[in-house]
Amino acid sequence: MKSMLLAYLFELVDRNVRFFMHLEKINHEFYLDAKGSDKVAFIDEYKVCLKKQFEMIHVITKEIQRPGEGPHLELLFSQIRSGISLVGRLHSEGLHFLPRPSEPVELERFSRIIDSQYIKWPETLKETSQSISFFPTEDISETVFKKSALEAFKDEINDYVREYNLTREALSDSSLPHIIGIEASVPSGKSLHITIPRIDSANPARWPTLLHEIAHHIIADDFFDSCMLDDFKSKYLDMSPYVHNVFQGDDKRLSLWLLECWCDIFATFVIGPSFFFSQYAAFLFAEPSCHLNPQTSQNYPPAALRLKLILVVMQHRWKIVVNHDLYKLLSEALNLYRKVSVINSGPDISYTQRDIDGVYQLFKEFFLGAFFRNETLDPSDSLKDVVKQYFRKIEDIDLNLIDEMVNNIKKGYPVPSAKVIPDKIDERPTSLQEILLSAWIYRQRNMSQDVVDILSTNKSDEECYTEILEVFSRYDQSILRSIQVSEWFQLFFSKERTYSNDAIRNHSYATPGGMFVDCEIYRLLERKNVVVSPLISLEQIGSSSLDVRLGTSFQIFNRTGRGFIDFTDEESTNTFQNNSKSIDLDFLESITIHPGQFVLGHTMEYIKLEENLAAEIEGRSSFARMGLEIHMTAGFIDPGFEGVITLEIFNAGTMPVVLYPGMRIAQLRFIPVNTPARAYNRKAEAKYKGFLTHNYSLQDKDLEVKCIKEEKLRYYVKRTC
Amino acid sequence: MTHRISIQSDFQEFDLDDRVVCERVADRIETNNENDIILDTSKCLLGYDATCRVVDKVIDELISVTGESKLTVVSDYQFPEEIVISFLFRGSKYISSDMGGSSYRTDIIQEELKKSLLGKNISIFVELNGRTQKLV
Repeated sequence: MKSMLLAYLFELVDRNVRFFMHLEKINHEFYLDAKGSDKVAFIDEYKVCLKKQFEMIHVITKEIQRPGEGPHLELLFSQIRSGISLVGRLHSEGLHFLPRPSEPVELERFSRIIDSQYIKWPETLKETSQSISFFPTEDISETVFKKSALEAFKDEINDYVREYNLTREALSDSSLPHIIGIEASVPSGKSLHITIPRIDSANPARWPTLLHEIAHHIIADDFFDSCMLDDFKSKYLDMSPYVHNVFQGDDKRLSLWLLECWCDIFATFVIGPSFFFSQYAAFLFAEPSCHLNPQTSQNYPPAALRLKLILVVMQHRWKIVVNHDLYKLLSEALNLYRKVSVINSGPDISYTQRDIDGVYQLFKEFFLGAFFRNETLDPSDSLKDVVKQYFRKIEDIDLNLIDEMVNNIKKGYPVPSAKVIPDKIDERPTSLQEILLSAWIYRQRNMSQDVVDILSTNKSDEECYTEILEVFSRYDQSILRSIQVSEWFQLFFSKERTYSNDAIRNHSYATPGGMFVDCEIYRLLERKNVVVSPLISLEQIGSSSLDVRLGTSFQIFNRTGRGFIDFTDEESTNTFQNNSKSIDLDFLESITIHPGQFVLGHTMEYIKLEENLAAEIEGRSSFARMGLEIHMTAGFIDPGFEGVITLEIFNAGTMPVVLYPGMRIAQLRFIPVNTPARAYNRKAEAKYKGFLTHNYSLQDKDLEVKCIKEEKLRYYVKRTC
Repeated sequence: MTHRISIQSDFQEFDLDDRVVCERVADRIETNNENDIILDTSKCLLGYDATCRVVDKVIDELISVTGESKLTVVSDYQFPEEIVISFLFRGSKYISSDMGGSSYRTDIIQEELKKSLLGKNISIFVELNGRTQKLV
């Protein structure tokens, strides 16, 4: 009971923290310069409310951890549920008043990967599938618009024009102008519009749910009305009273339930087990009462039934899942949802749980028969062709690899790549399915525990909140980067290699001294003395260096006559940040660096050095010859450093230079050093550790800058007095 | 003496459609060397490839008891008998043939069980909503 409560509490923390992060993003994007404005005050009020709720969360944690069981635990369940419901209401009713921050490019990327790698669209939908657009909205659940409001408007305009012209002809009134060509100028749209809750737009773990909405698009609304419904009825309708008790002869409702379940199962097969978790989180966040209350949600099957169905088809699709720790996590999530939904059940429900169980049993039989040719065959071969036709690839799950990925996330690394053979150096890009599954396993197994551990300490609410915000922010960034970089890796990986690294592999190991050479770098990588994630190609290893690639995020600084850089002055620091813009390039996009222009970038690779190893970064001669510098006198990397390396890019040439992420732009040289007493990763005051993207100058965090700032303030106050 | 095992009240489990739950229940089942067992699955979910693990465990125990033994599996599902029987026995180690995903035929299940349990002195009954049918 207590572990279940803590798991539920973690979900409330998730909702609270993500809301807070969303507000921070709005603040940063729109109001950094507007201190003291009404809007900022409004956002601050929100934040105060969320922090107040967090104080409650802190208290509830201590309550749960108090020894002994008792009825108070049930009460805590209700309190957590109310908390989640409250955040939901705040989301749907309050966020209208605040602007929407930019969406992460990875959301676009997600739709592109789904479109290009996973789903094979039916012929009738091929044109539409060209653009799946996701819209973060205030709704707390996802919705698909096969026909958006704009489309409906276009239809109405076209009808209106047609009617006008017909009237004109009927009246034979040539004095009325003839409207020509408007129909052609308002063509029907080709986008599939899907909404996602705003606070989840930058939370990739919640994106698998979007596959359910895409499935709605693939299957026609009346699909079950026309054939599947008849099939179901002929097999099961007279078999038991359960179907009658639940649907009471309402065929429309039965077909809608079947449709929802079909979409769930389809989505599971496309994106893998992460879909289960993602739906579970979506159901927990959606207004809790809607799933078991037929008055408010007659068209949706109870969420617990849906989750159980997803779980059972998953077992048939990937039999390996049952024998892994993953299954325990899935079962725990299902049990928690069952517990929550029992609490939610109100007096309005016209059928019993046993009726729902009966319907579940029939749905299970029906869908196993609909999706699998023979459930006892090899699962990878047993999907029916009618289902397979929608898939570009049938991906299997390598749970050893997933475990390795989870371990890497745990260490703070992004996971865009995985070893082809364990303990060997060669890597391959990880798939979206693998990244999302490892993200969920990490979340359920490790992250939830980490958050509970933070809550269990005696730290203040403020300290706990800051730490937990960091945990969530790190998690999102890590998964987003993994999705982003794996797509680049895929691009380079697909090309045939001509390079042979046998010479490096077989070269005898030299005595360390001075700078490491190729065979030594190879061994450093093999033994993980240096972690480079991803290591796209062994061609990156030069005679005494390792080439690194350009990453996808940049900070572009505006030329301005306003302000100056003085980190002892807070206003100046804000002005400095406001005078720049952070951009995140989408796949195949580029950045142009003009002569005299300075931008910050970063390496695509996440680097970790052992404590007895330092490195130097230098530009590559090909870029130097264009006049491009990639660092500004800050090329030394301390032993124990971890993170992407920020590049200070300057065009000293006379021509603009176009740069694409993925280009090998710099090189690292490795130097053995004695293990220092305090390596970079161990220094509490280290400012630039573990970053997943470029970062600003954090000079204001330097002790001497802080001292000057404080002293200046004291001195001026004294003088003024 | 008759020994009654109720999944709901003895183990606080109801999802016998879950392999892991069934394995957990099977590990905990104790028949106390009795040779007349009633396995009550009332209010439980049942399902292919899972429930049979619990049933198999009880059959194993009964086979090891000297003399004649009897198993009665109770369910309260209001499904046709052949469906419930298939939920209980499909996937069992005592059924060797590949019955496929949509076969509910009780006669095949019965035949297979009889073949596997020949000479083991065990009889198996299914009691569904108060109506009892002998399988073996």
